[in-house]
Amino acid sequence: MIWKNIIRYSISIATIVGIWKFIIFIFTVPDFILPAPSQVMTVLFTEKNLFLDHTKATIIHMGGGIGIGITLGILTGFAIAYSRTLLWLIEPYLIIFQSFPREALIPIIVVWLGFGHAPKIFNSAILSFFPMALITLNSLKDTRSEYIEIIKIWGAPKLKEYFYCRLPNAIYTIVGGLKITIPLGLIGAVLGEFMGGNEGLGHVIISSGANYRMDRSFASLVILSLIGLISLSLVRYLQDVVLKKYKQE
Amino acid sequence: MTSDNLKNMIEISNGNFGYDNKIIVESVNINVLEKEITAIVGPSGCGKTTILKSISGNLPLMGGMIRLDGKKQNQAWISENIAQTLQNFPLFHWLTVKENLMLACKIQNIPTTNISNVLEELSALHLIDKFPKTLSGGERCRASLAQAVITKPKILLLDEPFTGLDLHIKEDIARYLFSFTDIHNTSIIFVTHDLYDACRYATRVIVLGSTTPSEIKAIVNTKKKNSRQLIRNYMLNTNQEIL
Repeated sequence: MIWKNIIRYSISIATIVGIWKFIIFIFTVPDFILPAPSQVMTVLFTEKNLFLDHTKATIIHMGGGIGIGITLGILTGFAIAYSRTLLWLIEPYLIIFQSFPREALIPIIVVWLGFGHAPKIFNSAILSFFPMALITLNSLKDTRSEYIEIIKIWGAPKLKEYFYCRLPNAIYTIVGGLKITIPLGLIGAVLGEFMGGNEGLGHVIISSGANYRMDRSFASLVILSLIGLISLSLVRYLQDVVLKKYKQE
Repeated sequence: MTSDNLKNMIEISNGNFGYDNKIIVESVNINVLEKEITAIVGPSGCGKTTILKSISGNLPLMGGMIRLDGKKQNQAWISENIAQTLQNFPLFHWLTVKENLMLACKIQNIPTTNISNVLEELSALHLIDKFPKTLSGGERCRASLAQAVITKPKILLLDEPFTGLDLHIKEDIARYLFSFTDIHNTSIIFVTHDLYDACRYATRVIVLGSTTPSEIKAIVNTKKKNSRQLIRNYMLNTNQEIL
């Protein structure tokens, strides 16, 4: 299975690289507009220390943001699924903020939190929080009615109903929700890095673009793709291997 | 032992059953004695399952009264003394059969030491470490029944317990239920579409009509001669008399 995926992804990447090289060759695109794939790979290795430092920063921003966003999202989703009063109070905010272009908040967040790690982490957290809360809420509410009936027949109080029935029933879907929230958290971190500060791959993309160093910008994109791909693979592993028994029949 | 020596476990007087402010079955009067196995038959949607849900406290009664073991229906008594299996025998899919039973015991505060014995009595000990999705219909039925009987309930409510099972398994399960009612003085009400199952495994059969809301059309003693034919006639709407 893993080999099949490696072959599949290799073919996809090879195809993109082929088209990329073909475009450069046909239209004789200058490297300050579109660098050749070989140039991108070269800069990745020759300037690896620079990329390592900025990758670390992005991972801190994304990891911190996602950690906070997902934890608070799950807790909030659980709380509003559990309490009708909280649902009544909080759900409108979730719906409004879910449809609101949260990226528009970034300049304000930068003003509030400065140019350090904090605004990037905050931004990543806020982007991952809302979908996580909604996914948790919906998956807890969508428990199969016969499961609820069984546990009620046993006389379980509401808290036990949630911990022994609704939560285990929902856990596979909640973890699956990470496939949505992790990329959003990564986007949040990079957008935060665009806006200010001098750390992170988002900063490398912006500053290199301004200096016509598109090879660096593209190298940063390659690293960001790898971060996203590895994160999603981990989620898939978590779902398919660790949480396999929780998958719905 | 004659029915005079047995107490009434379930008494429903003028019971109206339904949900969402809609009455599905009305004017129900039933007495179920201890050790008695009663079947409820009737067309789809006539409220068979609704009656079970109301007896087990999962749906509020919309009129009338239910007395259980001589006392007015209350949640504490229900939790301790009523067990139920549902249609298609749902089991938590993330737990093995053993873990499902352990959870049932844990929530109902009963010891888990009896799990292997109950499964063995139901010829289901080999299922102990299996996950529900790997079980056949008959195996699910046994596991689900084990989950219900482990509490040694005074009242056992079974929703379509024999549906989809072959005759051999039905007989096996029925044999177990007969001996269980004898040993533990348990009353059983089961819901079925199958006239044959109702007549073969129950001592009395309650026939519900197809009107909306429906009513009891007849209560037939299965010891009576031609009981199956009688029930069939009631189900096909040819008689209104309560026997």
